[in-house]
Amino acid sequence: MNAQPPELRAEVAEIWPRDGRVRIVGDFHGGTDSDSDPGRWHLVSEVRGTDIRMQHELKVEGSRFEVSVPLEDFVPRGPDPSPVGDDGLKWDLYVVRDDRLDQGADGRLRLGRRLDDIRNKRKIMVFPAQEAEDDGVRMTVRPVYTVHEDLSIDCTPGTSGSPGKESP
Amino acid sequence: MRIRYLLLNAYGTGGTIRTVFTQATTMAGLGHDVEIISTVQHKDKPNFDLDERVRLSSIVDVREPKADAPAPGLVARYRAARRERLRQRGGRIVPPGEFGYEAFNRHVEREVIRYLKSVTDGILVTTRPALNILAARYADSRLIRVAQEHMNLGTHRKDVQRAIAHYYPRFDAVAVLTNRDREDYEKLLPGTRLVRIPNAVHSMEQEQSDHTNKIALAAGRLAPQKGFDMLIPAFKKVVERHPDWQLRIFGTGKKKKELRALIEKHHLYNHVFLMGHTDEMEDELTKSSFYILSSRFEGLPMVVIEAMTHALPVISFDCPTGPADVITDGKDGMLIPPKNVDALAEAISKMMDDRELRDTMGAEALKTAQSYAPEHVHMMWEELFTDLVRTSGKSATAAA
Repeated sequence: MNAQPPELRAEVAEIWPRDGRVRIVGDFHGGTDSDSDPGRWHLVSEVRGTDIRMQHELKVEGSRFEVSVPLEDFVPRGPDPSPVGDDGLKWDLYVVRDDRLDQGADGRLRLGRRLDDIRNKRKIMVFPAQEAEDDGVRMTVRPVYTVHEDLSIDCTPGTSGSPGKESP
Repeated sequence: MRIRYLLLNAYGTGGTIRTVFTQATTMAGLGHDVEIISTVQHKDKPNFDLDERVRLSSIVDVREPKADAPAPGLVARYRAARRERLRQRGGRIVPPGEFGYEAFNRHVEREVIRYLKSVTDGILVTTRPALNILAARYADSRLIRVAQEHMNLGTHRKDVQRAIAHYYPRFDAVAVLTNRDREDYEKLLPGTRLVRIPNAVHSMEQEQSDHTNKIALAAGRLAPQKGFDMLIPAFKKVVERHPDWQLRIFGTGKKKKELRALIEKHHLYNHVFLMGHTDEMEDELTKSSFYILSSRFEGLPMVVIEAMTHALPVISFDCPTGPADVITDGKDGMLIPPKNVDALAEAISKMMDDRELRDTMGAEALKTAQSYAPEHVHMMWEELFTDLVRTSGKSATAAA
């Protein structure tokens, strides 16, 4: 009997929302040798329910990856009308290899933290909010875990404070 | 023997309730006639399992009336209105400094007194200062009366301490949890029979930690007493040297927001987690590698001993009272000068550095926990009750 290789996962280890950036450190788990081919990997962030997306290259060393995104990148520009409703918007985060960037949902790994023993992370692993401004749009940006232990970035219309500073 | 335990609220979740349930179950198992009386009852069933041989009753029922209950008649309405007036008035006998004072309004006090006067035989065990004071003043002197103290003397406010000094000598015995507390009470109550009987752990049959997971555990209400506001800065001091360790704090409470803010201030959101309530504390203890108690004060912190039954070494502030009774510094854990954050950090770092130390201390902790095994502790109660029956000249069996 051939055992199936464990599914390749992009697992969050640490999230550092500070100094005007969101830095994410994680590890690849499982997968086959070809999966772990270093190649070039990207963080693809997609506004939920829209086709707005952006990508940032990951720094990969062995199985560890890291990416640091400036806050203002999460403040969406156009299309007009702005996708930001009163409740704000959510960026869902994926890790995608260079050669799969065009494959849509098939070739991407949802970034999350599912291999540890803590469930209901959104209430336990809680991260600080920071405020960001881009083109006059001010937003509060906060990494959050979803009910499925995946990582998203919550952006809600900001109210006060200076750009890049942590909210009280 | 006929034994009655009087609790404030048998339907709550505190350590005292759990302890009394365990005691009552063991006593029933030994063939005694055991009843738990809850001063108030706000729900249908208690949270903890209770052996079916132990009867449970209540004095004041504060449950919402059932929707299908018949409409009250004139007399019932009159009584209800009178009860309501009494409920609005604060207690007259229980000192306002009693932490449970709010529960003892004039109506509750009257009903407890009425109950105490109705009981004339056997052993009556009361379980907190308010009930102890009421029992000392109003319970029938034919009863064998035993007061339990679950908090250390110094924690009680002045008015409660004065009432203790005045009324507790009327008891046949006063039971406290720690040796240090027994000394304190002896000074206040010369001539009163004082015994130290610790609470028993739930069970000694626990799965043991192998001390490999990089998890430190703390648990308790998120309240100033538990000192998590000192533990978080202490953890900050060690996290740079030990970035792969986590601190998991279990419990809920009013200080959650402040503690969360402290975690954010120290950028510990990847390392310190407010876990909330869990129904699987035993599994959580097994998964972790050591336990930390950062309290400002305690009675006898049972969770420390429960942790020891999982072979967890314990780092604890040497606060009044309890930790020094349980932990032998350097053997089964480490005792840190109270409120000394730097020393706490140093101990945590030492424990993280050394798996072998955790193994050795953990094995010793398991041995220490043995003296809190239910069979060991309950024998102490059995001996006390038997001796009181013998020496008091009072009858412990139900009157014919």
